[in-house]
Amino acid sequence: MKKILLALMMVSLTVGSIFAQAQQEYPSRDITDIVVWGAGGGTDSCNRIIMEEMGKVLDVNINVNNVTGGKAGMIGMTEAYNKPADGYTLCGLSESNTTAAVYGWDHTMDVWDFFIVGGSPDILSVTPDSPYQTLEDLVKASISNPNSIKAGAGGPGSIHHLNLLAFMEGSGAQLAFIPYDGSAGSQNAAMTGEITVVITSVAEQAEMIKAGKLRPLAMMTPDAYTLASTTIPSSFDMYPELSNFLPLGQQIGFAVRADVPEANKTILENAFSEAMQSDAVKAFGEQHYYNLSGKYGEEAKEIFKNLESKFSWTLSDLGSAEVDPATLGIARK
Amino acid sequence: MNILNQFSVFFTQIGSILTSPGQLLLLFGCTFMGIIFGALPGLTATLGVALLTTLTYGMSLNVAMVALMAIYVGAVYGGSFSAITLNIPGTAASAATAMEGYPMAKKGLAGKALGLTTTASAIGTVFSILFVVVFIPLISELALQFTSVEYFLLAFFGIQISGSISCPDTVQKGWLAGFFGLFLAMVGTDSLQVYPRFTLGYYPLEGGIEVVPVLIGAFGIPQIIQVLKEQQAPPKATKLDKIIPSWKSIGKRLGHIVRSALIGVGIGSVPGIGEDIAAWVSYGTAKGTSKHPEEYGTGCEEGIIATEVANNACIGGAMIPLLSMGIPGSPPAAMLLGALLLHGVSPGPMLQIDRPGFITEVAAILLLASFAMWFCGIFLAPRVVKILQVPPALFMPVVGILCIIGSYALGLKIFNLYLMIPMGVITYYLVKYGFPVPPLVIGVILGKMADANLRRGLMVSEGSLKPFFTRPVALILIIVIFVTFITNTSMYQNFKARRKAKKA
Amino acid sequence: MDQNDKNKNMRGADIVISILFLILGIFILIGAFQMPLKDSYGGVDSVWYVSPALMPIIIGIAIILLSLAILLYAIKQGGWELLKATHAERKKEPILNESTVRMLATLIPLFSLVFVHLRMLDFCIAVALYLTYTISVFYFEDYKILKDSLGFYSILMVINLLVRITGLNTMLDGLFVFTTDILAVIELIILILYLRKKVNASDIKDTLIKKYHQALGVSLITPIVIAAVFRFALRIPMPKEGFIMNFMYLIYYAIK
Repeated sequence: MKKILLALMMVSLTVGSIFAQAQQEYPSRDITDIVVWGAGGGTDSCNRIIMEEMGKVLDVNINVNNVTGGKAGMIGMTEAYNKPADGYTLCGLSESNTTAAVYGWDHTMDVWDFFIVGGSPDILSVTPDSPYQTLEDLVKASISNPNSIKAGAGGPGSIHHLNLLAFMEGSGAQLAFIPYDGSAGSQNAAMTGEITVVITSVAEQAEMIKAGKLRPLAMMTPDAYTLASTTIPSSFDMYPELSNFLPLGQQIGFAVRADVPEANKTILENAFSEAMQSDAVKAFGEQHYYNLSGKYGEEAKEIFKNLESKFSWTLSDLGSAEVDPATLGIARK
Repeated sequence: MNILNQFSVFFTQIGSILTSPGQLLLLFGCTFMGIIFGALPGLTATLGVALLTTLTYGMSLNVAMVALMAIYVGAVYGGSFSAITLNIPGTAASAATAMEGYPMAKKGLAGKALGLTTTASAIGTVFSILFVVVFIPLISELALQFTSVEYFLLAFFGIQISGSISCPDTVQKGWLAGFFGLFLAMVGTDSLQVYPRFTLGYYPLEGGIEVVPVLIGAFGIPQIIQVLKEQQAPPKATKLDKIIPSWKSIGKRLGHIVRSALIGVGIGSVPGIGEDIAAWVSYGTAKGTSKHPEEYGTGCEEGIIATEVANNACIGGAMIPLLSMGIPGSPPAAMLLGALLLHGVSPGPMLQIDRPGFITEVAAILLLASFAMWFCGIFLAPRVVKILQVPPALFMPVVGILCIIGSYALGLKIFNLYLMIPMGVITYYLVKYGFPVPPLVIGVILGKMADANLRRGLMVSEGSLKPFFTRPVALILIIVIFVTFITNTSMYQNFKARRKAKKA
Repeated sequence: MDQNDKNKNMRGADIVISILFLILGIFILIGAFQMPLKDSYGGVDSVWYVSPALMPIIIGIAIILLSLAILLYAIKQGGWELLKATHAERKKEPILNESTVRMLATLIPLFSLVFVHLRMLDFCIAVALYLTYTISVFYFEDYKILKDSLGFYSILMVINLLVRITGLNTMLDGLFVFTTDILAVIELIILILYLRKKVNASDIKDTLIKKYHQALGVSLITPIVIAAVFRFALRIPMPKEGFIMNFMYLIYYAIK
């Protein structure tokens, strides 16, 4: 009797679950979003908010999990990439992941299709007790006394580090880069007076600037920026050379495997566009000084491929790339 | 905002939660969930807060804060349950608790130990709240004294503690275990120059060796092997009558509690380091200043009070840099920052101006959460201890599964499990041959911090050792380290002399 | 005095362990000296004190010194003789003495679960395969059953390992979804029946049959409960979600 029951249960289980797999249309169950950066950071917050809104549109739960570690978030990307290409696994990432290939990841950015929520522009600030009132002051002082002024800009190889390198190249400034674990570490070091110059995003610095704990000198973008009724000039105005190296903008969003069925991708794209229009996302962008993008498809892929080229070649020039970008088919742009 | 105003905000907040059955239920529910999270090996406060961040997204800010703070407080405390009853610390923060809690449980005092940790945790949280409300500007000023040099010295002090942990065999074995832990911390991509160290070209190792798989591997797996292989049953709780500690036993140790709370708040307020370090530093200090250090390691009540007060006091401490500078003081606080951002609150120097009273409201929620934690803890303690009456062969394999899925849940990395199981077998043999485990775990927790900050400090000073002696906090830390060193050696010599006298 | 004797007995093992640590220390030093010591790396101007090799060199030297100290102390305390004595004693006993068998019975299921099953089988089935064996044999407290069934269990595990290594499971799953899971369920049923046979053959059948039912209950209910709680309440995806997990989804969405 027991055995018959067991057999019956097994048959029903098999039939049931096979139907569950095959029949329903996308999305019929929870979607998992694997965020490759740590909990509480920019990419994480951005993904949590957009996934909540997309979940409402798609009428399923989208679970956000953080899988961190490895250079350029390689471990999380591998985890997401190894899941079936059915659109049930998304990968929350940002511009800094584009260095994965030159750090030895098996794939270039070609394997993903991107959805860009947006990003916050980079800004250069100094501590308020430092003597530098303008960007020219800082650059001049650093040239007359090379490497004596300490600068923080997130971890080595981060978007902020690349901005700092590009800035030094374009302006001739000679700052000593001190690496910290991320933007929070750099800004804390500026608060303690360990470093003088800090390049991170407006989103990360806004509260400090408003409270007068940091003095903003210039934007790392071509346009000036208005923050709490003060206008921060663009560094391009003072050093036109910079336009050869900058801007290098933050691009936060998520990706799916490029070989996900087109029909599922279209459903995701529509949900993404709708979510970008929601009040919650708009309010989030405004409160946190994000330039909302909402790009996807070819457009987004182009942006990421550009970043991949810039990041890879910069790292290669610095000598810290493990794989030559040329062998990966990444063209220098 | 003046003090009177703050008080009125504080009590209005308490009143509004107490009079709303929904919020009260949420408070207790989330605290309870936090305790379970903390008690399960591998699941940490960070993961708990992350989970609730998503679930509370739709709620109002105030209600969401109740849920988030409750789970945070519960999870930091919950680790002591499995640490005491099974010698498997649920979180790194409670690893120090296992040092004294498990020997107490072996004496049949698991109930008493749990009662003490519960009360100590509650007191720790309440103390830290007082500090948040009263001293926020002062402490954030102090935290700003911490540059790379001080971080390094603090980490060094923590590592030094491993030398003072009682060793089952010769002292060298303790040191060797500690250095082995430090070596494990070196594996992975160097955070200063992105150079891959000891990765053997295997890319999952580039992320480094995480604390949780080592912790569960070093404490959990050997325990499971011991119970199954050697039929060594976990201790049964025999005395269940006195769970709630008497006022006298608490009052007697008031000075001890205040010191541990100060350490917890202090370490919590320094950005980037958290509950685990607070617990170890507090344990080391308690032992160093104790009149009878020889009792440590054998089930000393002071020891568990020191660790539990400190790791819970860390919560309040971690709120200080988070709310006043927008810089998280510990990993769960980092997640809390994310949650606040999602609700449209930007912590930082402007918070006091943008949202006056918010900090006081958080303090009020914390206070209620610590009460909820105490009630849940006292309610759970005798029931949890009963698990020990189930035949061990029936539940230890289940504990093993929980260890595995818990470590997997943190980061969804199967690689962590590949690391955890061999680590467990290695530690099983190390323990068998007289090596202590805690120094190994301390080494893994503090190794990266010591390494990166020493080099960064030297980089900033361009190779000069001057900042070690000219910066006030650094100088104090150096003196503390030096004094600990001296007392340890003389203590060791006294011990030797006494033994000689005994033999003669 | 007891403690002293016990510690003294460790001296033999100390020699082996300290030599292992000595090798580790040398490995660390070799690795450290291959790191960039002076030249710039990763965009950071480097001098000796920022070199990533700084700490590893200190650690390597410390490990070498400490292991040497333990080694010398052990030799001084007569470690060699002890080591030889234990070795000679060990030779007299069969290779698989009770202690070794119990250790293997603890570790084989654990290693197969983590290294073979978690990525190959549905989480519930993998866990059930682990628990059914581990809980039953240790709960029975009958060494004969433990020893006999260990061989049987190991054969099953070797089969699974071969399937995993050859990639047969992906091929089978490609033919028909969940084939591997279904085969594993059959394996689980065989294991359960095998244990039942052993219990029936035992002299203390009556006490064991009760334990057998309890053990089976715990082994089969636990994975379902854990999977349900972690997947649906804590929203944590399982390492592999196959046959049973998909069935759970079906129920979950039907209720929802």
